[in-house]
Amino acid sequence: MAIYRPVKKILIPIMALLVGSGAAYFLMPTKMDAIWRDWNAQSEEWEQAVYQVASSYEKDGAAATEERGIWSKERSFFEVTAAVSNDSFFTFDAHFEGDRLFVQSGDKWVQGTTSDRFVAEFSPLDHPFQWMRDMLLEAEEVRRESEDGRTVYQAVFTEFDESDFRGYSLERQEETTLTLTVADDQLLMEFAAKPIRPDYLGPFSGYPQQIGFELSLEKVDEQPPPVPAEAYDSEQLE
Amino acid sequence: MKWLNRVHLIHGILLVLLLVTGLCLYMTTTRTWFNQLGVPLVSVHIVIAVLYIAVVCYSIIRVGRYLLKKPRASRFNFWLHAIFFFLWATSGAVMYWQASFPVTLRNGAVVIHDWTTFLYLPWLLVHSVGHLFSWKVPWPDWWTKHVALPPAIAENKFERRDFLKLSGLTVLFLMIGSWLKWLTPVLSAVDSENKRRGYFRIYNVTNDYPRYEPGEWSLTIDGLTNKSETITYYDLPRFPATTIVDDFHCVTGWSVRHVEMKGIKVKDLMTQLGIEAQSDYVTAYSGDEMYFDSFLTTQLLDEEALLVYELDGEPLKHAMGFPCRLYHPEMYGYKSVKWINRLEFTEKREIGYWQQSGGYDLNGYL
Repeated sequence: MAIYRPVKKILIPIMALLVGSGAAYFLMPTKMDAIWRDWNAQSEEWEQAVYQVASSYEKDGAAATEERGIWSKERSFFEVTAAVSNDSFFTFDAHFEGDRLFVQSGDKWVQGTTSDRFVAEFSPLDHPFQWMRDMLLEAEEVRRESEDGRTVYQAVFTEFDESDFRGYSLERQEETTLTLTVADDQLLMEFAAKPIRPDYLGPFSGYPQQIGFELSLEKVDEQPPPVPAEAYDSEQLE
Repeated sequence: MKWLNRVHLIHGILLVLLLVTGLCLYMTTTRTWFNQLGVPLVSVHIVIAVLYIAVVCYSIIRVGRYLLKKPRASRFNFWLHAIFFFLWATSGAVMYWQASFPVTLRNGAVVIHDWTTFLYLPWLLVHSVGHLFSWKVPWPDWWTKHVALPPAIAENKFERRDFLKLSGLTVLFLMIGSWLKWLTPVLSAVDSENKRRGYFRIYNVTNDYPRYEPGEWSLTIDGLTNKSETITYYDLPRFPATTIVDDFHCVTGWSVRHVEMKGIKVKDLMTQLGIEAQSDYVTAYSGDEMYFDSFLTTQLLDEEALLVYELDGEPLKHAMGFPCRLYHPEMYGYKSVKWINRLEFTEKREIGYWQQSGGYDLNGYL
């Protein structure tokens, strides 16, 4: 027994091991946790600025929509070009104000709220930073690389619990990433998805093999244009 | 000495009262029993706690001076009680002023308040039995008398060198552990943000709460409206459903984060049924025939109040209000009337059950 005395010789290292490693396990983040938290925290800061935006959405390599405009958390304006067929396009203007959407096509205005199905087709233009944070909640891995004044964040997804992208339900994923490149006053958000077609879809339901969405945001000092007065009296979206 | 004995007695009585009221609050059966008797147990517990804190603050220095000169057992008892007092008082204060603290802290306070009580019980039992039956625990002499420590104990005395060794090794293990955790390729922050945190404590005001079978339940909307309507369990899926993920907060201090609730907005239900409210107040009644609470009509119609029938993708459990309960996203849980069976629009505002019995705020905003 003599070698075990005094007992404190053994108890002190055991106590230190339990307390030290226990505190590390419960309190310290993994590298990915730290990147994830930083990305989320930064996004809340970025969200406060006003941006000149340009975005494009592709399905299976073909351009579906393009948007140009100006975004702020409170109010945004976009000129939207949507592909109707291979060589024809439909253009209209869209204003977001709070949870309301006003669309002008030719001289005609219609309005709706962000809960309307139609507005889902604009996502994530209405709230790109909130959308990014929602997506990050489903990330499997996150990475960050910094080089020459640029920081590139990337999130990898293998499965979504409940996410839609422009009308397509995203579930299991073959290869899907969300990449955000940050350089000075510019942000570039790229969502590249190879979703696995959900089993419940019938043979006649369209579902893309590839989805690509790019959104570039450049900080500006100007404000989005106000919603014209006639828009408030317009018909509701059906 | 007389003064110390008196303080000891007062301290003991208050502490036992606190434990008894606290445990009665913790256990659903006793809590409900006191509710049925109309005893505001939470308020009683808080009043005793304030008295207890006052007694401790008044006496601690003099008691400390006395006990810290006594043998080790008394010194241990003094420090044990000082630590427990600090933990109870601090966690209790966080629970009382919960609205000023983040969810994690207030849930932590509830856990600390509970566990300090459970951990204290063995000591209290031994101490009380000893006093009552003049039973002496056969502690070794070095613990209860002013005698020299035996070598096997003396050699383990915690000295400055040991403190430094413990601190140094703890920091070392903390650094090694942190480095290993940092390198672990796991994104655990997502889970902690996404997953539900905390658990529901079930509070009812009657022991015999309704255990509805689906066909037995109905909800009537009546009072000062253009018409009255009654819907049944089988009607619920026919109305537009809304699913929200929200944090559920109880006024007693605990919260459950990220709870998925599916139900029908009161506004949507009224619209679908073609009911127009013609008064400024509405009372929600529970099927337990005891509990009710009231709202401004605007609070239910314009503030996204829901009639919830699914929780985390499952139908509500009987004790949680099956088949349907009210939920207001910006109000404490006591406004979330379980087994709701009637919404009555009234000319004057009714004073709800907990406003009458517990002095709770009428609006119950977080």
